[in-house]
Amino acid sequence: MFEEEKKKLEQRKRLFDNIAVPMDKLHFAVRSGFEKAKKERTLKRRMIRKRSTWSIAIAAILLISFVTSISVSPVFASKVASIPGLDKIVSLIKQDRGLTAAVENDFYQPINLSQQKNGITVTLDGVIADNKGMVIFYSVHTKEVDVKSLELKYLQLRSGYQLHVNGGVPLKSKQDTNLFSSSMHIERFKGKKDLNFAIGLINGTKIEHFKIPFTYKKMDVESKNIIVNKNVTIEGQRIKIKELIVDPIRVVVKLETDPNNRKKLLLNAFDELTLEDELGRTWSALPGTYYWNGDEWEVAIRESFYFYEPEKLFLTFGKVAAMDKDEAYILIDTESKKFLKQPSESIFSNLKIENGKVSFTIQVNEEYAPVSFPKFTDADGKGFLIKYESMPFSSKYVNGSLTDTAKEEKRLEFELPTESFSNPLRLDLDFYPSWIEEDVEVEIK
Amino acid sequence: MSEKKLVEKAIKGNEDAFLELIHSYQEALYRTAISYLKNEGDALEAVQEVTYRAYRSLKTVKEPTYFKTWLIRIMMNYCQDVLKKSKREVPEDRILGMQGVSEDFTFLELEEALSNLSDYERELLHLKYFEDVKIKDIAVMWNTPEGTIKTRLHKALRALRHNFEEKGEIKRV
Repeated sequence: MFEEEKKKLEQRKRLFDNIAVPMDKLHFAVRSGFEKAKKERTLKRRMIRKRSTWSIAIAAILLISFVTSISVSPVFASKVASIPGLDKIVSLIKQDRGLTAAVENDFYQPINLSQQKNGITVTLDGVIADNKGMVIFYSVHTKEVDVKSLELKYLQLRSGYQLHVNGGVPLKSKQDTNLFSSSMHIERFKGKKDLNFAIGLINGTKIEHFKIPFTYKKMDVESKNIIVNKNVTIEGQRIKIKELIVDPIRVVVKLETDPNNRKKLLLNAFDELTLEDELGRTWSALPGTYYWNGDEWEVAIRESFYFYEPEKLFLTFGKVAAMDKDEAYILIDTESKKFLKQPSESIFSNLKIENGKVSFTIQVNEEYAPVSFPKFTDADGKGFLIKYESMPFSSKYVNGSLTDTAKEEKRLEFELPTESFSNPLRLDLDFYPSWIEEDVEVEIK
Repeated sequence: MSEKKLVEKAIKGNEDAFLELIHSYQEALYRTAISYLKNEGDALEAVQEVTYRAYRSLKTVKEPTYFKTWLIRIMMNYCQDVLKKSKREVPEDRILGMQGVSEDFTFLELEEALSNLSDYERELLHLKYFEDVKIKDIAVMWNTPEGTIKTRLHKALRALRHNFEEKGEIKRV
């Protein structure tokens, strides 16, 4: 009975099983839900819950593949000599003091597993894993073709993390023409011990898929967190430094901005955050790597000082990207085809509304490029997402694009909604070349 | 560590255990959300909200073995609320854009037929045919005899067929 209905339901399940899941966004949705619950529990405050909109900017995974030469300690040299395969990736580890110390403290786990296909060999060299995250070192070795002619399409660790590259990124090898080594940093990782490392490489017209199953040992180490809870004021804007989460492969600074601040912090606000210890050693923020949800920020630090155990630590902010809240949006009237409002000293110009499309030019420069307009709202507060090519799906969207039109110029274009809307349209700004700066130093410990 | 142990630890207030559990089911939660709400943004918000709700009501988990289903049910509940509040139509072009739709598969009609079921019937069908939960387990969880669940499942399938036929007739006119 009902075989046809059952079949349809099974087909439907298969369809949804095949939908692409935005893993990193999903991960942070869980995180922010959890943080919200935890905060509420801690405060034990009874209040009407206002659902926060989900505004998170994140670079959870990053690629590092540049090489610098730093002299190494005798301990490090002896590890390199005794651990098989480590010599290949020495240059990757050496450029990060935190990882170097992790190797010296026996945190490096050699894996040395390879898969070969059509003259290309991918090797999973090893991992450094702490309680929370993992750094994966891998190499690509070619027999005939120049390794630089290959492009990276995706990197993936099953059970979650995925880094997809639109188009493809050439494997820039400085070492030689047949070997490329790089690493993948995974910030938070709650996974099983059995994993699959997968990588896709574009070789001419086709994509070669590699998959290497491996197991690793999770190092059981305590975080050395530092609770701070100190307030600073930068040009009148209050920022609270809450805590430093210190793990062997990663340090994260947790901050909270005062909702009553006159200014709104913008994307990449804390890119210049720096920590300095009593010996003048500095650790600085990893630009563009942060987690942002409403007033809360988590800023990642480039290298961990876990094994360095600084006695004193001072924090400075440098330039903080921020602008007045009442300046941080654009209003566009599609009738009169004019900007009704835009920031003073605007970087927006040349507004055009034609053929059912809105477009305008944005001045950018190398120093300040993180332009993004995820959505707009109409005068009644009705929201419309702008769907760019890289976004697979969303409801109530209009198609849009952001293209480089000149060296320091981009043009945003999006369709006017087909359903009714009321003027003016409002686009909130999460980025802008506007900063605040004040010479403040906070004693962390 | 076994899942049961993890759930027990989570109920006792171990945050790491809770996070590990949620992260291991985040995909399942997301797929359920998207099957109801049909778009990424809303589904992500749903996962955030359900994580929040789950953490707050951890103490109500009675049977650790059914933790995943417990989560899925919170999610279904949330989605049903959202749909009721918004009373919205699912934009057709987007669904058609989803990969894997075979031509003979009347996806839109099925979605509509499902949305016209009662909450209970839809929940039951979701558990059985989306999450592959055994009738036996549904019976234990809902503290209802297996036979009754089977009967209700049939009733739900019949209602689904009915919705389908109705839709078909309208189309033919």
